[in-house]
Amino acid sequence: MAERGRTLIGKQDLARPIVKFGYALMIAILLLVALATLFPLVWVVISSVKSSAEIFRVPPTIWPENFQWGTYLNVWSKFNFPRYFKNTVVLIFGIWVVQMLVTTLAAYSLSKLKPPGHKLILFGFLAALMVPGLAMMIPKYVILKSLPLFGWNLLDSYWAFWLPAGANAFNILLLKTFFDGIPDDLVDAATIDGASELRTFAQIVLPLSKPILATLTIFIFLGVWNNFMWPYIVITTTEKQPLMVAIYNSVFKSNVFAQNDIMAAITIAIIPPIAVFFALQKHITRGITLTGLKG
Amino acid sequence: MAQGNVISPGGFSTHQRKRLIGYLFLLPAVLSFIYFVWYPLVLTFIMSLQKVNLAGATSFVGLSNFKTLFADPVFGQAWRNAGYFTILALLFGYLVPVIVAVLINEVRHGQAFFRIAVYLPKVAPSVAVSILWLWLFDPSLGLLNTILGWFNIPPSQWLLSSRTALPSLVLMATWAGFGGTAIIYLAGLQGIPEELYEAAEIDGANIWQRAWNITIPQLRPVMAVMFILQILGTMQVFTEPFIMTGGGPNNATMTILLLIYRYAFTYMDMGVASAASLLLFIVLAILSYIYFRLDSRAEA
Repeated sequence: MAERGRTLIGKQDLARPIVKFGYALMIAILLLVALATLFPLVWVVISSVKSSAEIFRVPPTIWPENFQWGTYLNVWSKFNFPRYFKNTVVLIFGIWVVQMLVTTLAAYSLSKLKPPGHKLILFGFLAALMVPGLAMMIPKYVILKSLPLFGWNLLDSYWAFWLPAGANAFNILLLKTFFDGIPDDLVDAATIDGASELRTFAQIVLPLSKPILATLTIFIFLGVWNNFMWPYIVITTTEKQPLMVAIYNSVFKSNVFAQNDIMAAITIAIIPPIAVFFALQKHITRGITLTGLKG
Repeated sequence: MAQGNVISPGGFSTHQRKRLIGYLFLLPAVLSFIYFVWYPLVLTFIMSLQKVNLAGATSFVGLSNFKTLFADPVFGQAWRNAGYFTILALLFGYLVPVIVAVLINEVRHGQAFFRIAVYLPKVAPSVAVSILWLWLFDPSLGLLNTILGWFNIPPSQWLLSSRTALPSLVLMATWAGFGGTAIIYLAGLQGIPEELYEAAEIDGANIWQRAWNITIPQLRPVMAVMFILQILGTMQVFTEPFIMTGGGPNNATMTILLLIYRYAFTYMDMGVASAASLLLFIVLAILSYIYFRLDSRAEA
């Protein structure tokens, strides 16, 4: 936001003492709200550096008496973070590749090539938006256990996530809306010049779509990084589990780790999504605005 | 230069070629949807009428899965919990994001800071959030009872009592979710034309009148969408009670998805689990339909 627009309270209002007071009150409320949202997150870090004795003190100390950063070394040595980081990254990368490929091609076809029947197909995609997410877990589980026509058992494998990644009606809708905004003339001109549809798509349309692709990439990253339930159900081999599932199974549920260790593990797991959020904030805000109103 | 219906090397006219390529581009997506959306929907319906034994053999059992479900008092409780959760979530959390968004929008300095601060909980993984709040809720060691103590409020049992467990989860969900909603309202607020405020000011409307007659009506379509979206969200709560309470105490935090999970993976009864999924589908589909109707109006 470069230039602040006119809002509810105008300049003239602010000249009045009562409004000035109200404005100060607003700031105070917002600071309290910010404290309430941020402090629990800070509390994880505070708890993680307390000694095992201090963390069980009643009432809890608000500030640690001494900072035991050694907890982090302890957790890092006992829990194989690099392996689970790698698992999550591999999982995300595969989902990203499949989803980008499948949904951009489909959205391009629906937006620019429009073969006969494309409206019906679009309707079929959009109907999927009506039954969101985990409500599908039972039939999806059964299908992944023995993929129809092939008989492959994809459970406990990353293919259980990679293969269905393209069935994302929401991304297709978002991309189609974006492609609709690219002038048809641009596409037609390239075709007339003899470029194939694939080349037009890859060399003209995709480069123009960088902003939306970036936004989708971030959402894939955050979504998969934070996902718990479905990977928990599907990936049963401990060594293959993504980070959040492994933290639940092997840190939180095991008896090996003390409370401060658990808090340290959570802190480490929260850092990547928060880092991505800070680095790419602009894309995310735009994404929320896009996605929030569309599903 | 190929123009019009010139025959291309493949022996197709450009028109035919474009059509063929159009289908080819759609093919992977259509296959994905057949396998992982459309067929699962049909399968849910079929499986809800079947008994699946451990060997994987199936037999048709009519409506007996539904009968089992309706005879299970926990199923009724899960729906009542969903209703209670929704009402509480709306009560605690429906207006909070609107108010916070309006306040942030009015702030002259530090707007970016407040935006980030309220949104940050939404970035944290739900596993981390659940474990963190389990720690905050701990009746003796937790921070929440300590804070209550500062104001001489008696401690709560939070998740450990069947009376307070669900409201506690709603409190946590509100913390985790309101920032994301506030950002959406913020976008809506920034879309309100400045002239409206200026004109109202010239007409002598005070701040409250402006808020009531301009801000709220302009936000109303988004608010309607968010209302449905929030209900849709609470119908699908799963991870938090799964990690924090396991649906207890006394099924006070049992959700529909948690029950479906239990039927499928604890009782190994895919038939009853599918029957419950089918009923959930129907409710979600109706809500989603309302949502899309409202959404297309919100955008118009």
